[in-house]
Parts: sequence; structure tokens; C-alpha cells
Amino acid sequence: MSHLSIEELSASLDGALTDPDSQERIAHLASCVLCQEQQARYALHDGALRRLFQQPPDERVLDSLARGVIERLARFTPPENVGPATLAQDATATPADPAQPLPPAREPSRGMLRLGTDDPAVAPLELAPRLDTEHKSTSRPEPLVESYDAFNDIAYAGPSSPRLPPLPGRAPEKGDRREGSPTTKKEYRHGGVRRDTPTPTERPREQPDPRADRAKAAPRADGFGVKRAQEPAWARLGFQPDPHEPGVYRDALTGAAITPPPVHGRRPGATRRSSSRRTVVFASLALAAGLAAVALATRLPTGAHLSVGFGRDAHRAPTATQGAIEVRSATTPPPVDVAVPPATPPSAALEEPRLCGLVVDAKGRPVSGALLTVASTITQARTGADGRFCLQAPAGTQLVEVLDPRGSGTTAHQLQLSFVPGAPEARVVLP
Amino acid sequence: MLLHKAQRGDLAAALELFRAHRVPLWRACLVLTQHPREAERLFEETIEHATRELPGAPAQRSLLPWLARLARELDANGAAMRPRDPSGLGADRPDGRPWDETSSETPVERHALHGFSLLEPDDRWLLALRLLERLSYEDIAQVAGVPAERVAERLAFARDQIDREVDAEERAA
Repeated sequence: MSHLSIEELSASLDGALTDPDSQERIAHLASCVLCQEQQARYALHDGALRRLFQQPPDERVLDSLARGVIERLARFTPPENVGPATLAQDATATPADPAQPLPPAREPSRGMLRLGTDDPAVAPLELAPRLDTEHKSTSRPEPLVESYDAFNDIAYAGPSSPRLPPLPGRAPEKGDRREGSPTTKKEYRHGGVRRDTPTPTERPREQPDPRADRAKAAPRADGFGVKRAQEPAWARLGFQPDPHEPGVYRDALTGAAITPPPVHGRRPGATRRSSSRRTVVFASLALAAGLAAVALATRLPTGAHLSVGFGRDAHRAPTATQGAIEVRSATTPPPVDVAVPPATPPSAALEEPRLCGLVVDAKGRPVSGALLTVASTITQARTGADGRFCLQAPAGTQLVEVLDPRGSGTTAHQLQLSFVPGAPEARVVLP
Repeated sequence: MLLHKAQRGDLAAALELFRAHRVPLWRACLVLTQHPREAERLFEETIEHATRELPGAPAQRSLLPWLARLARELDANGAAMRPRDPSGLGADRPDGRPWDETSSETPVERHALHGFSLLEPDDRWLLALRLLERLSYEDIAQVAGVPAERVAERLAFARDQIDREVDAEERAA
């Protein structure tokens, strides 16, 4: 009997070689020294990687990272109707009544294509309870309302479209047309057919722009994830298009609506002027400015001109025949004294005062991970393990908000700090 | 339920929700980016996006698969625009400190880590979900959105690549 393949060795190592057809392979593994050695090598490497990654980082660092991000997001003021109202179009909203029937399963998005939905191995399943030791209070398992398709749709797939995604591994063909699309072929006299580009007026308003497909993701060839060259601008800014109001985008967190200006719209107040006329005006202004600069540079008096001899007079140097040209040596001082201020280093002029200090608690112990934010400039600094921080802000007294990392992590204190050059070290005492 | 509170805009609940998964999420970010600094950036991005997308999160008992998949998507999006640090995970230890003579790691661990760093990001991610989070093939298939057979195939390929790399380095030594 041949030796086990690497897939079989790997599956056996993970305990996944359990199908009835693999009993012979398991029996061979129990008796073959070569296969056992190879599997032992795999197990050795697995154990080495486990040991190396078992050491978690400092939890305070992770907490401060996550808290800083959430505190930044908390600056948005959610409207009163935030929450489930923004999820009305999404089936992931958990029903309030546990007895209420779950919504029907949705079609998988392109990012989560399942090859063969009848396969029980890829059917939606609940994760093993060993993953979440934090939420083990419920005796009855929580229902699986939705798979990750909904998340993928919201985050990346763009506005909801009734059109189904293309089949996996099949590129859209030229002959593929949407239902109701206008006929774009016209016939020539000789019987040939040409494909004409439809004008915007020919396209129905209800039909989505075909260019929007560029923003949608396509499955990768190897089956892992999807290709995402560039997200659309609304996705990068954290907005979602409102499916009920075309052209209106809503903030994913607060639900606030914005209406971007039209892409090809003109600025308000702009007058219609031809580009050629504008070019002539700019060229004339540039020419006049150039002549003025030349006149100032040469300091030629009015009426003076130079004569240059040719032929027999060519050996003579050019001389002034009219007016008076004052010739100065290189050391002659300029006729007008210009007061030039002494050069100062730019960094000194532009640098804002820097204030360093110490954040301590009521008992005088340093508080690490406290987030200090200057209200006027949103400049932030976080205290280190010794409770020290350094902030830069415009000169003067600034309102500084201190986020206490202890407790729930959402307690903020406000205080006035004086930012002047050479200021002494500040001491902030948190209650 | 904590998730319901967080979905209604309770940031304290969201913080508690993410706090429960910060260490596994950190491991996933480190495995994907192969550098502690990049892992911090990806961790921040993941938490920020997760907070925004929390209303659309699946109502499951654990948010870790959702967060891990979100981190993988964000890393895939930013990988093309982000220059990779050549001295990544294979050159340093997982916590970012360089290897030195006093390191307690064995040569096998070093070589295995080097081979692991040479894998494709998807293979590293799948192998980390199996080895570190101890997910089953079906769970990994659910998270990654691929069939379980594909998961088994990629895991075997990754293990074989690491074994080849360790064998080559042992022969060179």
C-alpha cells in the first residue's frame, strides 16, 4: 500500500480523517514508520508555532488601542432613531421576540460564495462553544440568525441590487444583458450591425449605472475571498447608500443623511466663459508681468536704448547713444536700501509650545493609558506606563479633555492647561 | 444581550464586546501582517470598522469569526498599498524583539516561524485559525467562506511548505 499523502497526514493530525473510506489509511499509518515520522514532523512544527504565538501582548496596550478608536468614533452624535431603524433593510436585525420566526436565508454574497449549497460541510453552523467562554451563561444556544453574508454585503458589496451575482468562476460575457435594457444595435444599409453606445437619455432612470459594477467585488480565482482593488468613496468614508432614496448616503453609525453634489455639476456662481478667452487673458497678464519684471531688473531709464554695430563697427563694444545708463560695479550698493529682516529658523517660528506633564490618581500613582485631547486642535496624546505625556498646541490656555482609562473607560475630565514656551511640567490629578 | 446594546449605540457595551476577543484578534492581526507595528494598525482599523459595522454584525454567540474575517478583508485591501517591512515575522520574534543568543526558542521554532512567514497570507491565516484558535475544519470553512475540502488542502500545503523550509535550513546548518 502506498504511503499517505500530505493531505491525509495533515487531516489525520487534526483528527479530520474520520470518513469510513479512510480506515485503511489509518491502519497504514499505525504500521508505517515513514508516515509516522512525517506526521511527527508536522506535529513538531505545529507545536513550535503554538508556543511562539501563545504569549499575548500587554493587555493594557490592546485596551488602549481599542478604546482610542472607540473614543474617536464616539464623537459622532447619534440621532434618536439610531439603532434598529438603520437596519430595517437588513435581515441581521435580531428579532425582539425569541419566538418570532427567523427571516429566510439570503442568497450568499460574492465574497462568501459556497460551492454546492447542499453540502452539509459548508452549511451554516454554530461555532463550538469553546470559542466564547465569556458568554456561557445561556443554557439554550442562541439562534444563528444570519451568516456572514449580510456583513459582507453591507461592508463591501455596495447598494442592494436585485441583480443576482454572477456564477463563480464565470466572467460576464458580452452577450449577457440585463432585463429591460434598451436595444443598442443599429443596422447599416448593407446589412451589417454596429453596436452603438447608448446615450444617457436612452437609459431608463431606474436602471442602475453599469459603471457601479466596478466598485463591486469579484471572486478570486483561488477561491479565497474576493478581489478588492479599491473601495468606493462612500464606503471609505463610512457611508452607505440609502436604497429608498437614490443619491442619498447615510452614515453607517449615526444614520445621518448627506447628499453629495453632482459629479459634473458646476460651482455655484460660476459664469460661462470659453476656455480660449480665459487663456488669452491669462497670457496677456503673464506677458505684462514679465515685461515689468525685465524693466525693473535692468533699470533702464525711459527713452534709453542700445545700438550695436555690425560690419566694420563690429569690434566696438555696444554703447548707449541716448539717455544715461549708469554703470555700476558689482560692489556698488543698491540705490534703495531694503531692510531685510534677520533670518530666523522656520521651525522656531512655526513650532507650537510643547507641554509635558504627569497624570496621577488621587493617591499620587501614575495613570497609564489616559488619553488627553486638545479641544481646539484635536491633538491627542496618551500617557505612558509612567503616566507622562507631551502635548503640542497653540500658545495660550487650551481646554484639554482627559479620558480616564480606569473603570469603564468612558469617563472624561476637562481642564485648562497653559501652553507657553518653557512652561513647567503639568500635574493632572484624576479623582 | 451585550450585542443588542452595542448595536443600539452603547459604546461601553461595544467596548466590553471587543475586549473579550482582543487577544485572539491581536494574534490574527499579527499573523496577517507579520509585524507588531502593522498588527497594531490593523487591530485599530478592525476595531474601528467593527464599531461602524456593528449594527450589521451577525447575532452569533461569538464575534471572533466575524472580527477575524473583517481583519483579513482589511489586510487584503491595504496590502497592495502598504509597503511590506522586509524584516518581518521571520526575522524577529512574534513580539517584535529580535532574536538573540539568549533567546529560549529552539532552532526548530525559529525555522518553523521562518517557514510560516514565507506562506501566503491566506495560508497563514487558515493555519493560525487551526493551530492557535483550534477551530475545526468546518468552522474555518465558515469563517473563510470556502469549502472544508479546500481548507484541508490549504492546511496540508502550508504544513508541507513549513516542513520543507525547516528541512532546508537544517541541512544548511
